[in-house]
Amino acid sequence: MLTREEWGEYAKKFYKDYKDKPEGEAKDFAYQQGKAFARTLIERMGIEGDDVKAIAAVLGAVLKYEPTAKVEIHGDKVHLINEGFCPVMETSLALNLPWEKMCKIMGWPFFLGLAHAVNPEAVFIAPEELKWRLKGDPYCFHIFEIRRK
Amino acid sequence: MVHNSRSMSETANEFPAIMYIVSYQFEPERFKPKVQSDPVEEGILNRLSDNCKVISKEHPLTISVNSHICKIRKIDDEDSRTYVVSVFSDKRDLENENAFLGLNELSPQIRRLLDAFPKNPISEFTAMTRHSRGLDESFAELEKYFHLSNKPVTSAGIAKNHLLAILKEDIENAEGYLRRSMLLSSLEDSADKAAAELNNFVEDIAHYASLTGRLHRLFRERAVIFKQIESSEKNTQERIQDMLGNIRRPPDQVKPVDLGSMLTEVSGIFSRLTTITSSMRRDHILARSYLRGIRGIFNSWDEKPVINYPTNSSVEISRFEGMVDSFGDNVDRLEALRIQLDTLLDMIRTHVGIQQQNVSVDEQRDTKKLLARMVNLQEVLHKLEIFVVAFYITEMARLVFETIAHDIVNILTVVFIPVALLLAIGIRKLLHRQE
Repeated sequence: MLTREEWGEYAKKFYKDYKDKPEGEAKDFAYQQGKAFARTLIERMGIEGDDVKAIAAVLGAVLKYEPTAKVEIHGDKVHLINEGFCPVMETSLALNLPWEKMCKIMGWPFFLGLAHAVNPEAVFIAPEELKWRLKGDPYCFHIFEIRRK
Repeated sequence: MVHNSRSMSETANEFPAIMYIVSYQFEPERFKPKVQSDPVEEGILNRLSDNCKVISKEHPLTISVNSHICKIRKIDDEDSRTYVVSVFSDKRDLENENAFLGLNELSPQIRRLLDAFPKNPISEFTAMTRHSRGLDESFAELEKYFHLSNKPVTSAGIAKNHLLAILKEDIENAEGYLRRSMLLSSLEDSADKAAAELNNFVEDIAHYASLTGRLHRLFRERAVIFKQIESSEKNTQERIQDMLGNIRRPPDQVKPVDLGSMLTEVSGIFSRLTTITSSMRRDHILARSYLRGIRGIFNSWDEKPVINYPTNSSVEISRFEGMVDSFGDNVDRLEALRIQLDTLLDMIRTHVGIQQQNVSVDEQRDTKKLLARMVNLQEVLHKLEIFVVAFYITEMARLVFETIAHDIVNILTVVFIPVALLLAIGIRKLLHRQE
């Protein structure tokens, strides 16, 4: 449940701290942040279970202030579709940060951390492989999947 | 012929064969022009091969590479630094078939030296230079070069006593930074003067490389955003149409909950668009300032056309104008969308206002009814009050009648009831005279 201002501040600080560090380190930090954030939400909102419904609930809570974000459950998968003007793009443009890098080292590892807080086996398929607004697609498409063994 | 040969060998040491101009942009907080050590120069010195010798570490850094001399000078411009490498070669002579030496014709050691420059420039210009004796010789050399190298010319012109021709790039912007290859032929007779003029002219070209490199980088970084604006604009337009459809329904069919969620959504998009528009406007202003600088350089050159070729200034300015216009066009598109959203926000607010007004009219009607009921109740109470007072008066009169006429007390009491009622009415009027 990040407000726009909180998100902007977070992105700015993140980039300042990690722009010169190895990419792996930055990704790991964002991943751990996502995990910690999701754990707080799970506790505060009483989200139970380790299935796709729990992942969807966490995503829904995180993206509460995102008017165009849609979280849908399709079998063993959670689809996160975000259309319209991208918040990462908005922040990158306003603060003069590299958009692509922000998605790759901050946004996606953060999402993976959120999902792993619910289920460490969850698989995340990033928009780069699906639909990505940076490539000119009309929306960003993320998939969170819990694969049956 | 002998005279020419001697003159050319004399000028060989003073007049560079190739000038390599490479520009870098730094983050403003990291750019410290006054710091003595230069990381780029240090990197070059560390990577020097055995057959290279440092002649001078003072500005300009001078290195001898086999039979060539390389002078590296740096020019700072706001948040960018441009390195100008002048390669002086004794390889050139009149027997050389091609008057201009290309980078590939230089020794591998020179290439290695140039490869030591960091790989993240904003622009890289290569100028093949030549000291000609007048315009006719320059044209002849230029024609010979085109004929031999088969490289098309994009533009050419005469500026600051030089014939300048910009060659067509094989793959435009493939590396992500701006590249230009040019032929530069001095038209000055005197060798000393020609070298000095070339130095000044190259300084202008270095500023040009810095400005165009920064504009080009800004444009490249924003190109993906322009693309996103296009697709998101379509998407937002559709959403606006949906919401307009909802809001155009009769007011009683639009629920306050729907209005609330619409207001949240539109406010969110509106504030995001406001940030994007103002950031884009900031970039547009920056791009325009770069373009002004570019125009300023061309204006100071006062370029004259060369037969059949468009001038460098007209071609280059129109290229960069196109980039700057993209910023302006996107600002206009975003602004138009923002106005639509603002109108939608006003419509939602008006709807909410009308609904609030309806609610207050209903409330007023209810209050009126309640008031009428209370008035009625009060009137009933007033009537009851008369009976209560009359009852007490009758009871008091009965007490009196019991003491003075005990036998006919009931008759007297009954007869007294109308009198008691009249008295009660009188008392009520007396008490409520103030109201």
